[in-house]
Amino acid sequence: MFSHGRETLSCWLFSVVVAVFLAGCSQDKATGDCFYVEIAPAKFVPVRFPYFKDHDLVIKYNGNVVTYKSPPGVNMPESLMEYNGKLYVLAFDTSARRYEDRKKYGPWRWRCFEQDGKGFKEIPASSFPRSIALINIWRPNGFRGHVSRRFSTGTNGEKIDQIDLVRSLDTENLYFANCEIAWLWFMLEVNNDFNAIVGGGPRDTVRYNPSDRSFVREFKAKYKPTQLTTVELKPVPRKDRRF
Amino acid sequence: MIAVIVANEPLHRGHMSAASGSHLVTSQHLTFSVDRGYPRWLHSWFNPVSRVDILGLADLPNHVAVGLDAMRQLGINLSAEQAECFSRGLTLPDLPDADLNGIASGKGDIPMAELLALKMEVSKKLALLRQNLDQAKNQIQQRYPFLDLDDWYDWLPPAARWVGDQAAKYGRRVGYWRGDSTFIGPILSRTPGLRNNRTIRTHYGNLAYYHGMGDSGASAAVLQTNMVSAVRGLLEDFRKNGNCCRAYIELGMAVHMLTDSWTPGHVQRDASGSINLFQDYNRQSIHFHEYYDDLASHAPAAYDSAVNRSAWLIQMATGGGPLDVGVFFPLAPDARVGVVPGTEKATFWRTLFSGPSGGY
Repeated sequence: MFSHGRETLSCWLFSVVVAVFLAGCSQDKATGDCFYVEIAPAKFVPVRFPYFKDHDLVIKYNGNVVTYKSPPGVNMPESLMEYNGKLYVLAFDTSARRYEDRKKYGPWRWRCFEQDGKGFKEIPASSFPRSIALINIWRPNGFRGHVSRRFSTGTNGEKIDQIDLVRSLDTENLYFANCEIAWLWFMLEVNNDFNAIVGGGPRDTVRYNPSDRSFVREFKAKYKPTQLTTVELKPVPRKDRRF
Repeated sequence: MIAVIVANEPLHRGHMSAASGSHLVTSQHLTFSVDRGYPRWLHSWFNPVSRVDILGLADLPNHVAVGLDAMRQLGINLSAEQAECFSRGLTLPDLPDADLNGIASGKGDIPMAELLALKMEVSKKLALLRQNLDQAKNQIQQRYPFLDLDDWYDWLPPAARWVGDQAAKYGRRVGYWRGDSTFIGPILSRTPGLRNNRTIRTHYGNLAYYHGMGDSGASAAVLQTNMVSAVRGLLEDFRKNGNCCRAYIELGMAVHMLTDSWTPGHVQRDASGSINLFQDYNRQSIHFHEYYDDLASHAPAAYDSAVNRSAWLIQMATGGGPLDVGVFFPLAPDARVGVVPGTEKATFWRTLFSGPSGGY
């Protein structure tokens, strides 16, 4: 009993030491990382990615500060777009990381959020505006603390840049139907279950077939997705970071 | 077989007994949540751990089951010795020829992994079905009668036993190991003396295609060609070696490679069965990988395909016809090597300070 108490105390002490260490190491401990995100063609807003609650976003938008609070277990937002004067966020939910969690939290899926005043509220995937279903938060070197997945290697060794695919939205590109945007579109439109993409789940799972280009062609023709100009994030100058 | 991760299921008998009310602090007794205001990076520190899992061994039950089910589908009744040799191959596609010769001839330094592989199948299922251990044990014994289940813990590799002991001894102190162990691959594959180790190379290096995976920068076409030639070589050896133990080991190795190519954590295939994506151990989340390694539970359609194709492969191997292995690994024109969203590994930093609900 007492030994547990000592261990708890030592954990707390260690945590305090680590916290001090972390704070000391951070380059900009007050504000965290800050980047301009392209939320509409050629329209950029500064977004702060705080260090410690690192799945939340603080966005300066139309003169207001809008905060996205990430629900527990949801990954870093991968899309922040504007539609009809409101901001929308897409984040991937991988909270069910373990066998027993999968039943509790459901499959890995996209979670959709709509601006509600100075915050965000969750909306069903079926209500998410399809024309802004894009992945536009590609942080340099990947999300902080994660390995980037921006680049992959093609059939014959060619380097595939996912950002190029987002920028061009060229459904005739050899690799488009097998890229993350196509997977996102399918999950929002047909089956918001990651098993549909990777081939897992029950036998009757409705699955995406990347070899059939008709889905991405029809999606693009029907919803006319927004075409962004750069997609890449740009650092916000230090003087503009405090908001 | 390489990396060690920690999750929250008991591993061995000591854990099981301790978890039922002795000094060991388990997650049932001490639960902290991000909702209580702890920063996420503290979460894993406070979360105790009582189960140790071994990356690379998690998929062994899957491979044994697929291989033996394929044999059943074909109506082939293996002798106990043949089944054990076949199972060794199913669980150990990484063995270099030298070790293979040692095992087949009963001489030489037989890797401890050789039999522990089958034992691990038991240990995992026992852990998962801890509420009814006897029933689980009987089920497994019935399915694999050649296994001696009484001493299964003794077959764990020393490293696994050490980690298990540490988990039992220190409880939550090893909690932070639950992270993604991203650092393991790069460190191992750069360590002099280890980087040429075959098991390292088949997971983090240029032989990753032995598990249907790719190292960064490899092209999908090259990986597919390598897989086809490796499987063809194994089947040729199977035919050459006749009815001996080594032949069944090599047949099992070929079936392992084919099964991996149907496993969503390794390879993505489209509706027609063509390969769309080879994934990369070096960049992939261990959680994602491990989850889908249990094909029968989490990707039953892929399990069926793996069994059917394996039966076809065994038929091809045992028949006298040409070894047209390419039919098992068709490549989509836009196939690539990469990592799917949500499945990237955390970095070393993240590994240490990310809690279970702090992202992937």
